[in-house]
Amino acid sequence: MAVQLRKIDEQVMVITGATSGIGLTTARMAADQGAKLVLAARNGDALDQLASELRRKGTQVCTVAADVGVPADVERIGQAAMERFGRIDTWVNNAGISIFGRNEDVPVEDMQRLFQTNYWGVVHGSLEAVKHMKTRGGGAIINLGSELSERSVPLQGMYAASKHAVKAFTDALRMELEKESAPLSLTLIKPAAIDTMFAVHARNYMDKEPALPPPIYAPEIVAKSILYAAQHPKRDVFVGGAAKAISSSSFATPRVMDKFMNASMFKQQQSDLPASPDRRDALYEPDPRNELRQRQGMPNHVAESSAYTAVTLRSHKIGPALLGVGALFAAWTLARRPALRKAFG
Amino acid sequence: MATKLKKLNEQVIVITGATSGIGLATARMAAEAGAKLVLVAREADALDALAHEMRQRGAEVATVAADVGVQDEVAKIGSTAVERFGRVDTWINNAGVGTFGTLEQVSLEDMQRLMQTNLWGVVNGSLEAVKLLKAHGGGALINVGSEASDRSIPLQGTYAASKHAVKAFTESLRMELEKDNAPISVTLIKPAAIATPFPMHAKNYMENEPSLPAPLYSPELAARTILHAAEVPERDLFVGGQAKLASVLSQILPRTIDRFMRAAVFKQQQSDQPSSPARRDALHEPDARRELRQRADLGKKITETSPYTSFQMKSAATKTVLVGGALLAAWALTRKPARRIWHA
Repeated sequence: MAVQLRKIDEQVMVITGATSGIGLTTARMAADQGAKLVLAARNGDALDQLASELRRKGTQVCTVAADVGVPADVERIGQAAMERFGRIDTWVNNAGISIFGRNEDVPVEDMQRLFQTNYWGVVHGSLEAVKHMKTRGGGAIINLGSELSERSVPLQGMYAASKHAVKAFTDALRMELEKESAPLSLTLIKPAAIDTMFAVHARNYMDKEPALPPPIYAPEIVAKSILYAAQHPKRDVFVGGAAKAISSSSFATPRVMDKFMNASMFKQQQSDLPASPDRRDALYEPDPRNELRQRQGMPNHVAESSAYTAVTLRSHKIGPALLGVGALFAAWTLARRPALRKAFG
Repeated sequence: MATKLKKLNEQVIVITGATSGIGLATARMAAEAGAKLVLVAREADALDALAHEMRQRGAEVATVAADVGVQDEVAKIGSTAVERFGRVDTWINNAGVGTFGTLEQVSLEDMQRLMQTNLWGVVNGSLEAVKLLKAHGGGALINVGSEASDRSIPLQGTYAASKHAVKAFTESLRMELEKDNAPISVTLIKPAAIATPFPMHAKNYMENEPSLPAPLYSPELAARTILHAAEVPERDLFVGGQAKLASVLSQILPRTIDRFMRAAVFKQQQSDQPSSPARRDALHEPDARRELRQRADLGKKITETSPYTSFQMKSAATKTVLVGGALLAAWALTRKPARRIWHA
């Protein structure tokens, strides 16, 4: 991909799901680095608050209250960006939501709502981005997939399905744009478990509150990966060695992975706390009580850096395949050994 | 999966998309083998004609005109099966449609319709199947994915996304059922390009009529593979060695496959004939003029057998012997004759 991308401080960046977790962390990091921002989320108040915070530090920000699952809303994001800044350099399709529960226990309407945000939201955003960016000098479209783009998991079946679909869509769009030699870089970011409000915002059909399986990584690592991909064309980025490890093992030994997941993922995706009857989630509407938080603050250890991601972002020659073994080892040691965690982290 | 599955002639089998292509080939083959059938499609006339054909040969057949994308209609499939035959042993989610065109060209409405059939049809069917299979002693759930479950394709982006999603959904359902020790085998079938009316039924945005990249395999090969999974628990089965090859190469050399597809697959998915403006497709409604055809002639050779596909279906013992033997032969061939060189 011989696409030319600008430095962050010369860029106009669109970020969806900007008021929480990965989106929020990326927005703040991009602002620190001098980008002009177009921030989208469903909650207008949270957006206004975030915009004030960023403007106080000198960032140029425009906000759009929008539901990425609605094509007309996503058109408004594109229009706002063009009206305010005259162009878009990077569009980050980050907004996403989950449901925890067995497939047999989750109503199909809820599954469809999840898919509307996680898949159709990415479709709407990507096509809107292409419309504005293809003939105006190009740029980067960065879609948030997941390690679950490559391998499914029990209790989050439709989330995994939506992330698999995002991967396929992104891969097809990339090939079609490359066929036309469009000056666009398409990146799929595939994070492992990240400490965000993901488990709090998810709808829950289990007896216990949702949790994420270790190893868990900091949202800053994902934000750094996104900003790297905004400046250097990359096809895919795994964030967290564990994400790459899951992908490779699943391909090589799917039955072993089935059994491993059944032995661990039911326990690890449920916390000790019983599911709260007053629990609110953000599946259909944003949850205003839990806005503008980057992290949930998980009781487990959270890795603040990823050796695997750091190396793969910079190297061009070293095949990530060679690092597969190293990734497995890194993930295992990060999860287990305090001394080695300090050395890597 | 230590699930015991019955022989086909003792089974009640549900097949969606039964009036065309792979579904039709599977239905006919299952009828030959003595299974009782519950056939599903949108077009009642075609179903009636098919049922009539089969009953003349002694098959017991029930039909349900239903759109798998509508949950209530899928519930009717289940209740019909139980009313008529008392149970279901195998449920095959096969109904699927396509669109040909770039992601920028295809309308959102058409993309959504494709997803409604290909993904939500499988979700609706799988959940209904699990309910029935659990209630009646277990059996097999067989979902038709695609090689596009493992690897996306240009000009069929939404189709690939739907098949990727089917793979993930099937995989999570399988794990959950195994955790429950449910006596249900869950199989994902991943066919390579199959010579069915799929390209004719697809909605087309390209200048030329759709086609599929060679090698093209026969729908009968797909049917045999599916019916194998109805008798023997299998996790995944490719139909056509090409599908397995594409899957492996995409995992280890994604960029190379991107370039290959750019160079070859755009052309291979378009025939020489221009697309007619009066063209009809089966995306939103069935195309009554083109029902009950198993095969389509795409002007390319159709491969009837596939050594790789057959290999997958052999027992573990046979596979070990075959692979072990092949490795031994390879080792023997690469050995240099023993020679000792003495250095002073």
